[in-house]
Amino acid sequence: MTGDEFLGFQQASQYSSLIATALGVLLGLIVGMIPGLTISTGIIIVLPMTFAMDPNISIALLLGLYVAGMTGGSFSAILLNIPGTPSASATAMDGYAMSRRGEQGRALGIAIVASFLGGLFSFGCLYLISPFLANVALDFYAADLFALVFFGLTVICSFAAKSLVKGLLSAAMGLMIVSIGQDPVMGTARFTFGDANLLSGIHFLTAMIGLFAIPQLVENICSPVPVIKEAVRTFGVRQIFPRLSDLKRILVPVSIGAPIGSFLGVLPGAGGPIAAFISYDYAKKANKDPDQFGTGVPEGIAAPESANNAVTGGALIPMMTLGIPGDPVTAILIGALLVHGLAPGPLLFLERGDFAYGLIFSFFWANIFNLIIALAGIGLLVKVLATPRSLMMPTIALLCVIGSYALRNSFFDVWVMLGFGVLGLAMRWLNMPVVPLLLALVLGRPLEEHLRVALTSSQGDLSVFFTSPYSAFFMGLAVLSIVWSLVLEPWREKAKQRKLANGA
Amino acid sequence: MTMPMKNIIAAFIFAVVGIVYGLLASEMPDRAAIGVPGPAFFPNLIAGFIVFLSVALLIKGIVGMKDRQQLVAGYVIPAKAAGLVAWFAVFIFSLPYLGFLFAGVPFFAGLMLMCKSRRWLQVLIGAVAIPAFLFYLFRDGFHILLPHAQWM
Repeated sequence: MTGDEFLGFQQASQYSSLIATALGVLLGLIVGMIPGLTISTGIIIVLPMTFAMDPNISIALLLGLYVAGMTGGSFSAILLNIPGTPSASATAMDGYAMSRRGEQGRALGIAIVASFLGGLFSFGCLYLISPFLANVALDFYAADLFALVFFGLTVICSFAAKSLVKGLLSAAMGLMIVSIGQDPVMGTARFTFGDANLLSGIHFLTAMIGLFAIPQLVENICSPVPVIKEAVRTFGVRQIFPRLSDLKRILVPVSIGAPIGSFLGVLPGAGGPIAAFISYDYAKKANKDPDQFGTGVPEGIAAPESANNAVTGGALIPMMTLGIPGDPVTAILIGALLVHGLAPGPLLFLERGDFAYGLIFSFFWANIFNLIIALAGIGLLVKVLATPRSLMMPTIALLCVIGSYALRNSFFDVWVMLGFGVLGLAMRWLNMPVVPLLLALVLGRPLEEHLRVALTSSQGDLSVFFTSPYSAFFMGLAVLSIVWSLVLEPWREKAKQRKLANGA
Repeated sequence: MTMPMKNIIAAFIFAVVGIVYGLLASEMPDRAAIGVPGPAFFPNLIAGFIVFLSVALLIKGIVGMKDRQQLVAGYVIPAKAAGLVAWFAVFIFSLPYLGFLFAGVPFFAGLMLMCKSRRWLQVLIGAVAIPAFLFYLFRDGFHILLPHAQWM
């Protein structure tokens, strides 16, 4: 263990950090299991509280929430056939089938243990790969960094959107918004119209609160998800602890799901739902009796659950080492770190190695607490499903206002938050993904900065982006992701039409 | 409204946004040296990109109009959403004058009613207790001062 690793472990293992991690896990399990609330919303809810905390403590709280939110999503998927988070959709197929047979306790236990194993595997990846990748990234020049960020954006547009045009438009809107304020190279005021509030630009956390929380509030208040109180009362949650025979059965699906989840987590935009479904599919193919999948088998829970929890560690790798968020949650985590004056990227390991390792070990503790709290408290936690929406939704609305106001003590930011909420609703109406916009808000400034610095140093010569091996590699990947999406889109359309024709 | 129709409308809106953005960017003072990208460089690039994508979206919409399978209604924003956004706006507008505590009570109660809560005592207790709890939690627990009434 190096000095930084030891210090990081010490920071993550302090009482205050451990309490914050445990609290985050508890909140994450609750948020995750409530249908209609996503992990992003959960993080947005606690975000204002973290402004006043020490960075180690606040990141421990947020990581606990992130990790446990993934597990929590499986609870309602198993018990009510309503996935608490999109990542738990694949879990519902076998989880609910087991639940209907009266094996809800067994199904929940398998989901919790598989989540833990997936999370632990991704911790290993995070711990081993991050310092190495950060070291490689230190060799990057402006052109390489531009190509990397550009690749990050294109891959997000390809993965997150059903239509590439809409994905790219969403990202372009984000880049447009991020250009408001002082330009990152010369400090010239742009699109401020003389308003001092706009000089420092639009804070992306404010935008994020509006984009994610307001449309979700509208949906929950206008067409609430039916949470059946009777169902919460009637199920008995016994025999949570998995039997040895079940643990043996889930070994193969977990060993399939965990690497897939960790790998897909690294790719920006891929996320938990894709990882869960791919792992489910592979676990099914690897099984001796694939026809049993969907009828309620432990393997059908273990594969997606280990995969979606492994995504968390994977997504933290590009966030920490390159400053590129893998999903909306890591984008919010970047925002939370920036509030504390910490910029994720290769320099984080060099300048604040203790904090970087503290984050990694907090992730480890989050997985441990996730296992303990979920196994021990599931009986009580499921009661949350019966919490009245009429109290929960207005509370979230107030927390959105607090979160946007407390960032800079500005009413202007609260209006901006509402404006982004309306934009989020309009984008939903248009079936346009918000994730590319959101990530463009995070990546826009570094994208412009690296582009201009690269072009200035090469005196406008565009070949600078193709002569360095790193930039050529990332530019090649960016082109590949766009071509892939262009090929995939008509194929998806055809598959959809074939499905409709078969249905008719 | 069908998705192709939405795409056509959106394409026009995005095109206008892109053009206006590009025009504003072109009026920006360029203080950079010759051959070096200035502050307007990136916005001009984005403006061109938005206009190009708007045309692509327009074509997508027009092509989609001929495809009968795409002529199904997509996501409809619930009518209640406008009321909710307006209620939010009223709350934010009143915040500097009434403060979080006093503006929060009617806001919270209104949202509870929108959630179809009809137990008046529950609405009253919830609307008073939760904003007050949050106000004091942030003020005394996290040392984050929320806006308070001008007369206080």
